[in-house]
Amino acid sequence: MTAIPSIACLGVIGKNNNPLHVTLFPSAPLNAPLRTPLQFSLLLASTLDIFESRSKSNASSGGGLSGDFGLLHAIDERLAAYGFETNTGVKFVVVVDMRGRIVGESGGAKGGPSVGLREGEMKLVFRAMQAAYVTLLQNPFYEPDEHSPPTGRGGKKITSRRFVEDMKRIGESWVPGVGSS
Amino acid sequence: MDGYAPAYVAHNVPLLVVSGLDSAPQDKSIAPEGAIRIASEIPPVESEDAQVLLRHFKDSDAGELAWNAREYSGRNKFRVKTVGRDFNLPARYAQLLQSPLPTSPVSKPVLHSALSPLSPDSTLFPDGLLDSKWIEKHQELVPSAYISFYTFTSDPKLSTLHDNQLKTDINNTKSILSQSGYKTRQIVALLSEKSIVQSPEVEERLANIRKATGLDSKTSLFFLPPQSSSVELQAFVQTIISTIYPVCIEYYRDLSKHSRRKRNRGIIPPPTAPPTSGTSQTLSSQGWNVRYDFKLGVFAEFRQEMDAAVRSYESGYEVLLGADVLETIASWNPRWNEARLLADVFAIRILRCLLWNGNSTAAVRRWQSHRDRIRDFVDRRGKGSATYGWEAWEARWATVMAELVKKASFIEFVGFPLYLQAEKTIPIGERMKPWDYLHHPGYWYRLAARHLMARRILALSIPEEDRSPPGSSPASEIASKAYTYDTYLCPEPHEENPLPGHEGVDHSALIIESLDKGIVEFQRNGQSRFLQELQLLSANENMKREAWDEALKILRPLWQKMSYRKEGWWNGVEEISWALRKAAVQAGDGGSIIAVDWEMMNKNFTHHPNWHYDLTKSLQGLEAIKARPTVVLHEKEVNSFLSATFTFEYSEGKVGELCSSQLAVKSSAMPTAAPMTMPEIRLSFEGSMKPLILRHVSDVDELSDNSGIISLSNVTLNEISEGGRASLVGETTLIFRPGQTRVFEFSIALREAGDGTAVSATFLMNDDLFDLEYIHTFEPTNAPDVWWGPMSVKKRLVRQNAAAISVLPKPPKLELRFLGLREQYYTNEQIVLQLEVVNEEDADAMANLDVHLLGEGVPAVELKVPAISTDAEDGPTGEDLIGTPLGRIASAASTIVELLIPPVDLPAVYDISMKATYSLVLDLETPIYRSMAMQLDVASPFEANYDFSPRIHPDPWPSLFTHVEGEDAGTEVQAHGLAQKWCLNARYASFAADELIVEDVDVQILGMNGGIQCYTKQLTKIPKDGLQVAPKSLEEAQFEVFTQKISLDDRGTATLDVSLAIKWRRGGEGSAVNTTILGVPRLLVASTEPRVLAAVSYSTKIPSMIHFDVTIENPSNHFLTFGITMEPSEKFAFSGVKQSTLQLVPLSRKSLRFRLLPSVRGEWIGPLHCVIRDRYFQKVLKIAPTEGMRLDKEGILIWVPPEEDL
Repeated sequence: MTAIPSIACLGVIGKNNNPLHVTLFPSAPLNAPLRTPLQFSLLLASTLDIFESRSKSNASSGGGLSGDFGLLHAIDERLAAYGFETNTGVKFVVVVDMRGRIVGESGGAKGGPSVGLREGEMKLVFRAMQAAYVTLLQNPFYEPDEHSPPTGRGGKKITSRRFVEDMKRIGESWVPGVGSS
Repeated sequence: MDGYAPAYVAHNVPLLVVSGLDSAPQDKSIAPEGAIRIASEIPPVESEDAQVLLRHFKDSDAGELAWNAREYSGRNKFRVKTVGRDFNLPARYAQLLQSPLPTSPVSKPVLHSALSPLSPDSTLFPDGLLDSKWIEKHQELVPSAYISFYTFTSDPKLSTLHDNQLKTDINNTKSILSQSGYKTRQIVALLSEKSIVQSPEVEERLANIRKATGLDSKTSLFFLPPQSSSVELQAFVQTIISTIYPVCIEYYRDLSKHSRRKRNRGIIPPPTAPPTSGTSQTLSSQGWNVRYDFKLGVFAEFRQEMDAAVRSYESGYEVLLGADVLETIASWNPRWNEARLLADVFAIRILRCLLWNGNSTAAVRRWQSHRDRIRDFVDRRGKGSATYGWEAWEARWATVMAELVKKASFIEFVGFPLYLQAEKTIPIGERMKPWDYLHHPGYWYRLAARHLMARRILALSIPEEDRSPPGSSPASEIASKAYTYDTYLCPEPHEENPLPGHEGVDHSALIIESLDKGIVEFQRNGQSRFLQELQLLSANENMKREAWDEALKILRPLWQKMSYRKEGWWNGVEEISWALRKAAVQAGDGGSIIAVDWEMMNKNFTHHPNWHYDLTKSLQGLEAIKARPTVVLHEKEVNSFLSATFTFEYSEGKVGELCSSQLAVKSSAMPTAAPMTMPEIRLSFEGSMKPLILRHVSDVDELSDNSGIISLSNVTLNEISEGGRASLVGETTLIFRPGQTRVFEFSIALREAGDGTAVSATFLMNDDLFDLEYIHTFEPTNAPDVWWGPMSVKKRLVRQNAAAISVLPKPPKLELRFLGLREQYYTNEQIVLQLEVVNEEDADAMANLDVHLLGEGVPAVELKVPAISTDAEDGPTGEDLIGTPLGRIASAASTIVELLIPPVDLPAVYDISMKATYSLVLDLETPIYRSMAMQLDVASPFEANYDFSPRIHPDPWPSLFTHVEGEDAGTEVQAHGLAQKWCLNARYASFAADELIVEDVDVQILGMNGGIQCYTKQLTKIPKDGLQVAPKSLEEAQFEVFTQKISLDDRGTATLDVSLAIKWRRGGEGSAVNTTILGVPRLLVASTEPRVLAAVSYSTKIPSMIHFDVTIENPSNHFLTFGITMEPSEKFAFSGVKQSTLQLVPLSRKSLRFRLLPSVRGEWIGPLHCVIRDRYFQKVLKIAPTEGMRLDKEGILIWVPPEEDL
């Protein structure tokens, strides 16, 4: 039995740094989210510091065009946050629980005994999230301005059932090592 | 790292003892027994240089540097200790026990170091592993080098004596050191006295000393030349340090060699005395290896060889945790905890070395592996990892890492990396755990805080029987406690979770301390949002220990500034808000309670079913609140449930009109919240609008109407002046129910022109217990502005900002127009313009008119106003207005004002600007302006040119011989001179636009020069009722001008200034006659030159016979002779003088007549080539024509009338 990383939380943050969507995923062994929704919320909010400062340094260095911010920070030994920012300022955050899933010996062979993450392993997740978000934007009833008003304060959350389901699927289906090159 | 002996965890640097500089009194504490004392007779050097040197040595102390290679590569290489002259070295070997123990009769007891497990006096005896005193000994007590400073005397008489003293002393110290068993290097530095001169003699003395003491001149004997500057002094210290440093490193290398030799020997020496107490077990050979490995590591650290140190430590660590050392110690044995501590120390030192070398990821992994190994160990052999002791250690272990990282002060953490990239030794593409990247200390402190919280939970679950202090419980229980609880580096259960009334651990304080350290780190890294979470935790801990004020001190600013509210993380806002309220209730901060309660009414937040959601109940029954709070909340500061928008129905309005506007207040309060009654709402405007106040009146009838989701109330406004400021006040019910939108509609009278914007709405609430002011600033939102109609029908307003209105000035309805305006106005006529002021307003107006004429040389305008109906009641009005009052003009009536412009002499273009200021009788305060401008072009009606030609004066010339008696001076001067006749032919053209009637044309004599008399005679007759002059037509007027010199003797030139005065009037009946005076160029009338005048007359007897007379005048005083030639022509035949000479006496004239018979009819004939030549001057005189003749280029032309005329 080996503990492998799993996604603990997916967060979509709007242009005004407002939460658009948060999905929590259960972690092993209790099969419950590792932290309370509030703690995850605060955790997502804390990544905004990093988005802000990295965009600043990216803007000055001209880097970071891909939008993938990679590892934002590890909160502790178990939880680590990865980030992605679209060019419209919408941010996707993936919080990974490094020991979120227990697999049998057979499944553990893939990652080897020391289960870590390679750089860019989250790319697939971000791509899927972005695709889901684009689908959401294509919905004529979704008005982006309501969710991130140009006044710069707050905004509504995403209520689209399809988007919520997409997020759930993305978070649950991810396993480390897939798609990483 | 508090729990570990400082010597264990401190970084090791070579120790240098500097003696002989510090003259401060030494503490004369009694040296430990058996200590080796280095003493000297020679007093310490006392000079300024010595003080400076001392300071430099102290400055180069390396004890406090950050733990990284960067800092240590600098000049600070030694731990510097300064002493006077005396220094104690610890005893090399332990004293033989004075105990009554029987010494082994077989052999003499072998003495060991006092810190060895072999010496019975040692704490380690018989099976301890290591004592921190051992490191202390090397770091603090036994120097690698011992520098003695001495004065090098300058007195030649004393020098020999002094040098001998020096030699003795140095040799003495040398022997003490060599006898001590320590291999401390002896260094001597000589400070020469100021007056000494560098000379071979000095060199000789130095060589002598060196020889006598056997010191190496390069590395052991230093000499400071006299009169050194401060830079030189510093350089001297630097030289000493850098010279002896390799020697000192060598010293530690020797120690390493010694340890390694002992380790490799593999024999455990027998103890001084066999163990008698406890187990008789002695330290195993593996245990000895741990000792030696540790020592090797420490000595490597002394040498700053971190790689070597890591190797030694790792080997020692493995052995320690291996099967033969820690595994063999029983967990109840105090040695077990000692060994565990030693394992921690090993790990700490390894971590430090890794961090030192920049192996950050390796360090994190090492940190984790130590934790995992110890946990495994504790689980297997100890009391398990589910104890508070384990969590305490976990917290400690995280704190240790935080402190190590902090102490290593990575240069890479400057800027904003929250974590370091993996070092280069880790292959790229390896699977890394995110935590393996070394994060900044804040994260480690946070981790520590989390473990501390876990520790508290475990501590709180200690059963009560275990919590009683020792002594009050049976011994058996104490024993069982010892088996249950892990007290490694943490207190016993009765302190961990004391029974009420007993002193114990303050868990919250520990957590807060850890959090605070973390907060500092996160703050440094600019992680303001992460910080908020830690601050909240810290505040919660403060509340747990009931430090309400501290909690409030954290929460109040946090609540005000948190990013969660601005960015819409409502659960974060909620958490902080409720925490603030809890603290505020206890600390008695009523303001915070009200503010939180206000914000929590918003339905964005989680609904608490048991909460009252009624602001009036917020402060009820709270005794802690002393002062009545006055709370001012701004809409930006809280996520308020009340939101307000203000709209004007139209974006423009006019002064004097009413504009309807709406204030819509939406309450998004919790559905269960109590309706909110606001006693007053104040609206403030920017620009030219008065503030508006809505006051609450409880009206029973209206209540039912206002309970809908949207309710529209019309409010009538009254103007009230309060404290010198006028404001509009309306009364209505101001009750806001949850989810309701209240719309208040009112009409505001626009008074002043300009832009007006609704700025903010202030909701005032005065409860019995508090005052609340909520200020909502209207800001343009992206939501379209809405105009609410009755029955909730609304329309969208598509405007930039519906809360703004631009008030235009009232459009004037007073008309100004000119009546009977002529096409053209002329100079010299009085211009009368009739201005009609028509009041097209609905009400009577009080008007004033102000007229200005602008241009060059403007005449004053006079206004002729019809008699003002001065009603008594209208008296005061209009006085402050500019211009001539016109009085009251009734609605739809008009008044005619005449503008009188006096005649102007010169043509000009003027601008007339008229401004009528009026106010309506109904609204006397609002002035209304109406202005008009017109261009007035004043042109000259006539222009003229003139022809001035001589005529023959019919009168005979006076004779010189006629005498006239002089008359009385009083009467008119009689002229006696030559008289001349002239003809002034004025051709004047009408430049007027309309037909004018010329009444008279006259020549006015303005002035005469040259002593002449003059009169004129009009030749052209003008009809009695005037001459009609059409526009652009040319008229002629001829005048005869008679001039006569007053004196016959006067020969001077005379001139005449005349002007033409045309009296004219406009065509209309009864129009006034104007006189236009046109200037005539100066006329030259008298000359002394002779002249010839030609005249023509037609014969009455013979038809077609023309008489052509030539009159030659000689007004001069000379006798003149003229030659006359008349040339024949084809056009006529003539009789008369063909060629002749004429002589004229002074002042005489003579006429010659030619009779011409022209061959043509009805034609001008000529030119007549009649040449008159002054014989004397040889000058041809020009013949001047008179009436009926024309002057051509070549000569005079004469008109021959046609046949029928003759």
